Amino acid sequence: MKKILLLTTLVLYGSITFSQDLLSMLDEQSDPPINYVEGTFKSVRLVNGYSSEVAGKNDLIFSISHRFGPVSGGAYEFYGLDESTIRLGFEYGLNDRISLGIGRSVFDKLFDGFVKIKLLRQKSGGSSFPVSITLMEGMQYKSLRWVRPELDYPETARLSYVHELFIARKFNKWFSAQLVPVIVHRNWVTEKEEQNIVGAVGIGGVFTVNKWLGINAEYYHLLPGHTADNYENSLALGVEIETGGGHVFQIHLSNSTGMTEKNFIPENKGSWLDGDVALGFNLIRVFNLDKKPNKRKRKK
Amino acid sequence: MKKLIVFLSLAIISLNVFSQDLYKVSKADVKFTSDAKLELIEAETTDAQGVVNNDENTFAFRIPMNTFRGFNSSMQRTHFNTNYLETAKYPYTIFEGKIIEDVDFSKPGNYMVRGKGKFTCHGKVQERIIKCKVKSQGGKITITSGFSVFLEDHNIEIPTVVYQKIAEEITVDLTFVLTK
Repeated sequence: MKKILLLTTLVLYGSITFSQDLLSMLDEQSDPPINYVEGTFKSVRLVNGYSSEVAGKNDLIFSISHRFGPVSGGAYEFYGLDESTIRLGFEYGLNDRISLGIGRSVFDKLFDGFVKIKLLRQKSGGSSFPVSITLMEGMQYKSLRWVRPELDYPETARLSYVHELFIARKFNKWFSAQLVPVIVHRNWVTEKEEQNIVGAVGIGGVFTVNKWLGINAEYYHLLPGHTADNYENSLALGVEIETGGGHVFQIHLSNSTGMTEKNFIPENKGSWLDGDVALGFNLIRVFNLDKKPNKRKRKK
Repeated sequence: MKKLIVFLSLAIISLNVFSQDLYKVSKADVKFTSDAKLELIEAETTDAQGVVNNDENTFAFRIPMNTFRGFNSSMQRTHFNTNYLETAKYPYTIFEGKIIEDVDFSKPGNYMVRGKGKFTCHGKVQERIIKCKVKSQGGKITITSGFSVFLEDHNIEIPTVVYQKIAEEITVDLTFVLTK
């Protein structure tokens, strides 16, 4: 009996060692890989505002943003389509974490410039972190001539600043969201009661319909104060389509026609309830400026 | 008696573990190429893990897919990870199986061998035979191989817009250095 027992044990152990899976051996010997979450958002822009994404290293992103007028303009304004305002922008990735941007808007003849820095990246696996955090520091210069130039405004009156933090999480392949604390600082406001410094909190998200199509929503809530009492919170809903070749098209409806934070956060007057909803789109094209030896694009 | 059985069994386990003639990947270089009509895409990784059991002629190799670098832009890499290979869901490409030829790598020399087994990429398993050149220096073996992976075999879908920019057949070239 005991011999049988011994034999069985031997056979048993023998077979265990024999079938010891080489793959599980690899699992034991190597650390689980760290998976940095990529593609939280399809592009650097969500709708009116930005997303937590930054331009990749040596990527030049050209964006044409276009907003029609509000539908409430009625038949005379052809439901907003007669009016239009545009912003042209460039963003360049110094590396995979830091990018610089410049833009020019028709409205206010505004120049804007910003730096976006990806401070922390969401990751899972061997070591994990729940969110990505991106800091954006921007500055705008309103070059529109003063209505009464004889008042001799200081040059600094043309400047405004924006500080934003994008706290984003890709929950799964279908849904990503971001929380965006914002401070807009305007050197010059038109009335005494108006706030120079306006705080707001934005939330935004994308529902991924499939790999190339998403539905976007973005809302910026003004923190209580004079601005919140007199202006409207910006709400935008849109669809975005990625072609896979470096284009992202975003089409949306929004109660703001501004394309820089200063315009659509503290100075937004349109209300969804009054029908001040405007159609808009962003055309975003990524060009890669790398001159790597393995880049040999050919045309036959 | 029971103690003896336990002792013997333990001795046998340890014996078995120690006696196994294992080679483990210490250096790796894996490169893939997509040579399409409109664009040539290349990416490379040095992060691979693997082990060859010289006693049993078995092997297992795996490559963490999100470690590939290269590509023509970081956007392309993001698409590779999020849309095509879905590396968060399928972190590894794995090849495990048996070596068809009965070879003993502890004897220095050059060998041509065929690995037969399960090739898993993008979560889809294919039964494959892959030819490799093995150079043995006794305690160290170098495996070089080149083979193709067809996107269709692994359910990797390409949107029509970039159809001419991504090849249907991806060629892979790899070198693994394994030591005892």
